[in-house]
Amino acid sequence: MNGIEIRQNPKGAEDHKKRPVSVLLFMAAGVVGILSFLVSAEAFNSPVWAVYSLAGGVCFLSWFTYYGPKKTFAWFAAGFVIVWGAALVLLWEPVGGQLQRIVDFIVIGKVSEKVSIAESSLLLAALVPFAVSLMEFKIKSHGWLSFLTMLAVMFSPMWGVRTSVLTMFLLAVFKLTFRVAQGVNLSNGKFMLGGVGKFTLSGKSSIAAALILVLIFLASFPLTLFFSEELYTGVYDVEGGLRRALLRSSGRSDEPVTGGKISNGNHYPTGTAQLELMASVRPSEVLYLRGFEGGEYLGGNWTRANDEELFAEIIEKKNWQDWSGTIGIRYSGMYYLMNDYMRGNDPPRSISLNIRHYGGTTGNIYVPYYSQRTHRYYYEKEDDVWYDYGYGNTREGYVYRYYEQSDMDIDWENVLSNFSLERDWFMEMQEIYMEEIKTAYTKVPVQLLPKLTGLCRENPLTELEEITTFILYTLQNNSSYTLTPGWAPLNEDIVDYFLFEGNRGFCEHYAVTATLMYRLYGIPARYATGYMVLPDAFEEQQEGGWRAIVTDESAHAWVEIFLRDYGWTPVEVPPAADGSSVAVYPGFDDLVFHRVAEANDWNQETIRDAQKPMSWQSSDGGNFTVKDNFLLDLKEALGKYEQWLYILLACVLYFLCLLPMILEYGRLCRFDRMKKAGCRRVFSRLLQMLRFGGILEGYDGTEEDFAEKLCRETAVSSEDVARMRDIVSQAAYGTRAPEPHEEDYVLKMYTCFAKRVYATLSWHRKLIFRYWKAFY
Amino acid sequence: MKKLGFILSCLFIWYLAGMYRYPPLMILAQLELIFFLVSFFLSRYFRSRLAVEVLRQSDTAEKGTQFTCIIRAYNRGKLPVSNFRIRLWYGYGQELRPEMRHVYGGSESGENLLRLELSGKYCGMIHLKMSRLRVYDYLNLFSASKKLNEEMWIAVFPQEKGLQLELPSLCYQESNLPQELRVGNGEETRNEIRQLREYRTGDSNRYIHWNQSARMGQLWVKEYEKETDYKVLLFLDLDGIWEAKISGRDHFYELLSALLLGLLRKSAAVRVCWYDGERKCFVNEEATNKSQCRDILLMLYRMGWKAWDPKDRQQAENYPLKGTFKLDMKLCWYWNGTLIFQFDGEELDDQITYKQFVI
Repeated sequence: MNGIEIRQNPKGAEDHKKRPVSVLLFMAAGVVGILSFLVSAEAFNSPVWAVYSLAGGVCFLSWFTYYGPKKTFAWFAAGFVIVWGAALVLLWEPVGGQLQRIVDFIVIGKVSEKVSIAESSLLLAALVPFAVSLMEFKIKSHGWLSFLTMLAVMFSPMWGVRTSVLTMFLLAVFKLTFRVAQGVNLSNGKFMLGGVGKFTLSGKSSIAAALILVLIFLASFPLTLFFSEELYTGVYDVEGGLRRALLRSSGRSDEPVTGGKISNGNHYPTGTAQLELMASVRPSEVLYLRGFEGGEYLGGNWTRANDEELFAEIIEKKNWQDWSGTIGIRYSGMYYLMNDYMRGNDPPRSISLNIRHYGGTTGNIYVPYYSQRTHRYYYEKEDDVWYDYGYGNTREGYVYRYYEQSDMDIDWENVLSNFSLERDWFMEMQEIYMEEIKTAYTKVPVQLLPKLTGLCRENPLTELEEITTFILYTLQNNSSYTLTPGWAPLNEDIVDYFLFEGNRGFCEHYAVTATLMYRLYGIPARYATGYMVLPDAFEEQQEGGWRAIVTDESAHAWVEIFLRDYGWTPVEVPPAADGSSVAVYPGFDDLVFHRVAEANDWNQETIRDAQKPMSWQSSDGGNFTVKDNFLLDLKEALGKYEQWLYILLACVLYFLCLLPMILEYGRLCRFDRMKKAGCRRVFSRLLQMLRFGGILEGYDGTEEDFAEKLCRETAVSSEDVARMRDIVSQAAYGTRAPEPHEEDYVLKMYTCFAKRVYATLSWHRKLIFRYWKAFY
Repeated sequence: MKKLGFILSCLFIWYLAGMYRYPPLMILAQLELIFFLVSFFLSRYFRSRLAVEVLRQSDTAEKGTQFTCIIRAYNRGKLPVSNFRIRLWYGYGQELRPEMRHVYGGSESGENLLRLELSGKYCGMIHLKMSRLRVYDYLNLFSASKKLNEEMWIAVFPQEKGLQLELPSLCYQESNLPQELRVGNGEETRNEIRQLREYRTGDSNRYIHWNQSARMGQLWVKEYEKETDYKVLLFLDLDGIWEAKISGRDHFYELLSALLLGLLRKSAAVRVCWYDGERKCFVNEEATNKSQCRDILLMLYRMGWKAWDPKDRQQAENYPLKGTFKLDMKLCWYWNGTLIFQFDGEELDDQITYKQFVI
């Protein structure tokens, strides 16, 4: 303390309360924004107009009383608490039930039918503006309110609540304007100068901030409209990069895929080698290596299929206790063996496949279809000589022999006589297994999948061809394949979300959806994960055999259905790059697909009708949906002219790049013309220039005090001005033309005045002065 | 930290918008991100548009009372500046190390007059300096600063209290003074009773009009006309003024002011004389009213900052004290070289207010 006390300014006249309309508008923006979350939740029905009207009324009363005479707000608050409390007591019965539904919605997830929450929403509609006014006006704590609002905004998509663009804009206005206003009003212990007029200043500042926000909104809206994909991709690139780096650095990138968890986000393969395959011959078909089969769907996760239970039941039914220890092993190689026994004259060629894990087996093995595990690895050279490494695989890993699907041709009647007993057992086994899986692998938790269940119920089908076609059509017309589909809401099943809202996914989402649809139609199906290896991946080795390095990019999920004489068979349901069907299995191909689709008149429109709006559209029931749909239409309409828009944009950018040169050229041309026109023209331009600069307005140069006044205004000597005027007078009224040095003198004076006037102008007037008027 | 929080929040919203493919959220993220960038440029824009200066570069105030310093903020832009900060240094001239404080303000478009309320505990010259202006954007995320060189001097004068003096017979004649100190032609003055009034507490007994009091049954006091040429000479011994603490100087100034005002009540003018160590000469000033008293104080406040050497001390001691009051830094008050009273700094206020001196 040095003997000087600086005092905080007490509230003065400038802090006098008025009723600023801007505050009411900003508060209303926040209230509408917050309430729109409530009315946006598609699980609930609420009287939208009543909600907004009531909220508006309370908003107005809060504002009116707060800025009214002293203690009016306190009376209003007391009255509100009493009335609201009474309403709560009176409406407790319906409100209690509704609140329970709301909590259920948040905790459990979406509900199949909309629930009316009229009473609760009206009570909230009154409470929200009151709470907002209390926080903003009395407690003056915008930070918490803003934080909570933003938390709701950020996490609302996690609960599947999607509001409109307008709502977001209103909330942004509310958040920023009140922050600006309170930044001025709350000194937070800082020493504020008196006379600032904080009340007016905060109002004006928040209005300015809101106007800036509107301008930014106008710029960012088309940006998002046209470049949304690029904006999302930027996020995925960053996340992908980070996740890949994390996987690589943690050494987990070479761990093979296991489990039946359905991804709830994006998939970022690292390209790390996970398996090494050695095949005796190059496969001609896609090789599916199955590491997991899903038994029961538990909502985003599959339990491992437990065939052992089935076999136990079969043993029980058939009284095959003698086979109890080996039935599983015998069944697993059944189709391979049957195909092997029925070679006939043109025996199919099985492929010997050695599988080695780079990252350890992790207790999981990958099994090709139509295969049998063996201890021998074979490969054959071009001269068709067989090499046998003998019993006990000398290679690391494990070995399967398998038939490709096209080589499977079981003819139960054409079997060697010494295998007839085996054949009879296999036939019986197949029949009873098919019977058992009708119950084991057709289970669907319908309560988790109301939309998918509804879709299948609305489209009853019985034939496998029809079902497969319908599944393919549904998937192809309602989804697009991408490794970066984004996240699904926490309270919604991934399958319903993928097919009816997100509409984007990768193999896991296609496979799980198809599996469940098959099951809903009563077709036994399993969700399988493992690797899909293309024939191109195999490279011939010098020492013989074909080698393929399988990376996590080949990790795949698919659906498998049970076909007679084939057993479990993979079905590929994601669309091909051209969007066509790729599902091919014995008895079903592209031709069948189109035939069945045409026969059933399944076109794009009929399937789309059964869906919900896509992600771009708002799902709220309020007025903003109309606007958002309008924006969607606008985007689609403009999308037709996308190429032209880019050309236009390029032209505008090109023009903007050239603009400085064009302006400079134009300026120089006009200046040159003026010079050539002589000193009279220069003097005339000088007068125009002075007037533009606000100097000597109303003077035409003939006035007696012209020189004196000009000297005073521009600090140029009066002799110079007088001489210039004499030269110009001589040129205008004299008998001789001015000499070149006189012309130069006038031009020099003009330039001198121009520099002085130019220096006094604001930046925009400088631009006009220089380029539009071309004075200098 | 605030910036980091804001940008992280924007990026998180962007991330969520991307992950949920949620265009409204993406627009919100962009709104906030672009607003963040705009805020940066806004702070620069505000800095270029805002000028801050003190309206008056010097002013006066009374000790202990509130003084308002007007700061003019001129905003040439269209947008209001919601928040700016001024680095303010303040102190008693060169006497004490100045203290620094940040003061905050805002400015609408155009001219804004802002008030800085302060009060000085001591008499002297308060020096205010605004050295830096920092202008913030609307969200107080970014700031841009520029140098200021605005200064203000405030002379803090003692409160108007005069000593209660009675000196009917003391006067000096200009002719008695050394030639260099003479101001005019002094003439013998004569007191004339202007009026009689009722006795008030504190009135000297010697002015009681006993005859009238006896007639009326209550005490009456004679009031004399102020003599127009009745002048008092006061010599200030400023030896040690700059070595004294600020409180010591404050007491001296306060006592000097009270003495001057007290003397002026009883005389037409007070000639104040002191030795200026810097200019190496005697300075003498005449005060005939309060304003001139303050001028004398101001001269003392502004006097050069230089300690006396023995020569200066010798000069001051040689000053003729006959018929002269003298006041020194120890608050000793002399008449004709004889100590009248030594004031106590701690009780100075009471002594000025209540004590009566009859010379």
